[in-house]
Amino acid sequence: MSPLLPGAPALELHEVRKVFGSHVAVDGLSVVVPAGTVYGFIGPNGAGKTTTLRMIVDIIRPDSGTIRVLGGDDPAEIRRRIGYLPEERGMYKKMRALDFVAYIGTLKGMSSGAARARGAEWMERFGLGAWQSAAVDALSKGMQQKLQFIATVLHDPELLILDEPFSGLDPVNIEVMTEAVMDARREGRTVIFSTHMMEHAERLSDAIFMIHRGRKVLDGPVSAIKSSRARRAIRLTCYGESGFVKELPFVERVREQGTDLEVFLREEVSPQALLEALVGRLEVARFDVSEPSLYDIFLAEASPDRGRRFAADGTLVEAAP
Amino acid sequence: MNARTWLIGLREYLAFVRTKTFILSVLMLPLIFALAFGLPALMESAPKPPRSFTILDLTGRYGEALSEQLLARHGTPGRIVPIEMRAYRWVPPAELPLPPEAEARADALREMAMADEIFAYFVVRAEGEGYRLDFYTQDPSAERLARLVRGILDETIAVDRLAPLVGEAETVRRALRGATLEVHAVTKEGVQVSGAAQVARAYAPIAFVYLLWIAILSMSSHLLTSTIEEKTSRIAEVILSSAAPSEFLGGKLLGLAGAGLTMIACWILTAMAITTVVPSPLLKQVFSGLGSAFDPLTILGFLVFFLLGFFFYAALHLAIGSVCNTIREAQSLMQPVMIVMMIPLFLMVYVANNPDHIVAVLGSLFPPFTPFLMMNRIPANPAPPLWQILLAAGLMVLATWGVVRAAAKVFRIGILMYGKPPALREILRWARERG
Repeated sequence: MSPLLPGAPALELHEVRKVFGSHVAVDGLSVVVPAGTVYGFIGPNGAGKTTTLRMIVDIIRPDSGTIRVLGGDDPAEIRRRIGYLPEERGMYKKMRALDFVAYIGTLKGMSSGAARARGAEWMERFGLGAWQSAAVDALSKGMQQKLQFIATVLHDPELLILDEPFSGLDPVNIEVMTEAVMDARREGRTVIFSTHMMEHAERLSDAIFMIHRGRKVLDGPVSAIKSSRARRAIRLTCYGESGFVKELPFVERVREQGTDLEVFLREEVSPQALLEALVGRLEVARFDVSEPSLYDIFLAEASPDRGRRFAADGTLVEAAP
Repeated sequence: MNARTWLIGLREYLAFVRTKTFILSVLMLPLIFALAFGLPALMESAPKPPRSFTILDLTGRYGEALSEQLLARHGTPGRIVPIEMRAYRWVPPAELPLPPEAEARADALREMAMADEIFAYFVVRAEGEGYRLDFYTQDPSAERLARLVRGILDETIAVDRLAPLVGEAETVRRALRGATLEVHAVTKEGVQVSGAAQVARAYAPIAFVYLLWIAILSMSSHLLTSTIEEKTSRIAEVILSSAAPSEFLGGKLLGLAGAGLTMIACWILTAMAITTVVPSPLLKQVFSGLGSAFDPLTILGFLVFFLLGFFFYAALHLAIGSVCNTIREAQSLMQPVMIVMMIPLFLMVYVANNPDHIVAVLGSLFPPFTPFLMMNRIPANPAPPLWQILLAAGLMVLATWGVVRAAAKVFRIGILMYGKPPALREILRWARERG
């Protein structure tokens, strides 16, 4: 099967729903990931990220809706073209490190010789060269994580599904992993990774989608999402008693840093309203309508009273009931 | 059956043949043989001090003749009477510090036996018109000695009573000499003097069913623990992103079936090696006896029923392992399976002795018991009719197919499910689901 052309969808989810018992894990999720992009998948713990990724990898089946991966229909063929890094690392503890990655490589259809050669190269690159014949359980947690990543990318997958690839890594290894994701992107691969660390999502992703309680709340390019929220965060520098600001009816919340305030307004409220409320009560030195960070958007969306839905360009399509 | 199934199978195979369970199971056969044949041989070779005994004759009529005949016929120098692996030394009552009064002497002997100064003693008394022989011993298993003495006493009394009528004691003695009995076993190979080979042949069905049972149980338990390990360490998730659940399950079953056949091959090889290395004619007889139970049909049956039984029980263990997070959780679900597996073991000896009894026939047609009880019946005498073997195999194929299919459905759901294991009812619901 030939690789997808850039821009063609590498992944299409349509109205995907998954229920465990009485718990709706994923509820009517639709998303399109163009080939060749890095898509950050964010959401609070328990939002349904892992369930969604497992459905994409076809280790669990949705109750309804369709999932189309790499334009293919044959599950065995699709498995061969994707690489999956699960959230919790899974390795045979007694197996030797190189044997393990080569084993996964051969399961993905590589020849044993090629899998071992490529595995050795990757281990060298990740600084694990000396550990090829060490048993997996002799490796540190960070090393195991890198080994698991090698097992994910060894067979040159077109689509990489990484569930929390940075969790538990030290800063040096986070850099190594980031570099590896960037390389994958440069090589034209599609990467979908989940994280709850917004700086990773912001730094690495071309686009993000966020789910909360099994439903999509954000989806689109990072820049579009941020600019659509620009009016909602206002940075203030002011002097005087500013405690009343957070009591204003149209203010959602306030973050104070000395004389600096970051004020988040409720929907459909213009920054003008805030400015009017401040005049005469405080001495305003700076009034700056700015882009909120992804972190702020994440917090706002994940707060308990939120349930809005947004279109692919980041605009609000459905307000909370 | 595709490349991924084989790869998973190969990994599972290699992982199992390196486990302690496998190595122990392979060593177990030589160990059992070492214990069964080595220990008695060892005991035989170690010299033991003879046990002393005496014969006290309160009638005053037979004591002398009895002792004389015993030593003349069964004794060796030093008044030693060897019986099987033990030696008994006769001590004349005159050499013992006994009081002169008859009844007091018996009491004195009892004191001596209690003080371990003598191992055993006989007391001959008149009783009514006949006589009575009492045997007092520290070890009642020495009754072979008692039977020997009793036989000679009977003869001595008969000679004593008949001699005046017939005229000559020797005539009476000759007349009393009975016929000797020798047991011969008739097999397909011909007539042989009964020996270890025949005993081994008789026990062959039981021995092999037991080995089959151990092989199936150890493979299945390994699958149970390895599945739980793969589930809790999340390896299952990695494998399932590379292979279909049916390939994962199929590979595991295949790998372990291969390991099981390897185990059996190792047993046969060790048995052959032992007979070559250990120059024991007894051992050779035992193995040739076991071997004579194996005609081509038995071997074929053994392989077919081993594989079917293995797949049947292994699939059950796999399904149970897939829904549990710890061995502890698995134990309660394992209980019914273990009970079913134990029943053929209890029936084994009975079925070997009554292979055509209705219980044996019906039991061997009940799929969970088939691999054990059918293998129990095939090398037995009379062998089951061919139609029963084929019917049992057919039923077993159907049952195994059903169990493997149901296990695959449970496995697919269970292996990715974390938290409390589902109730049995829930598991059965998964197993019945379509597709």
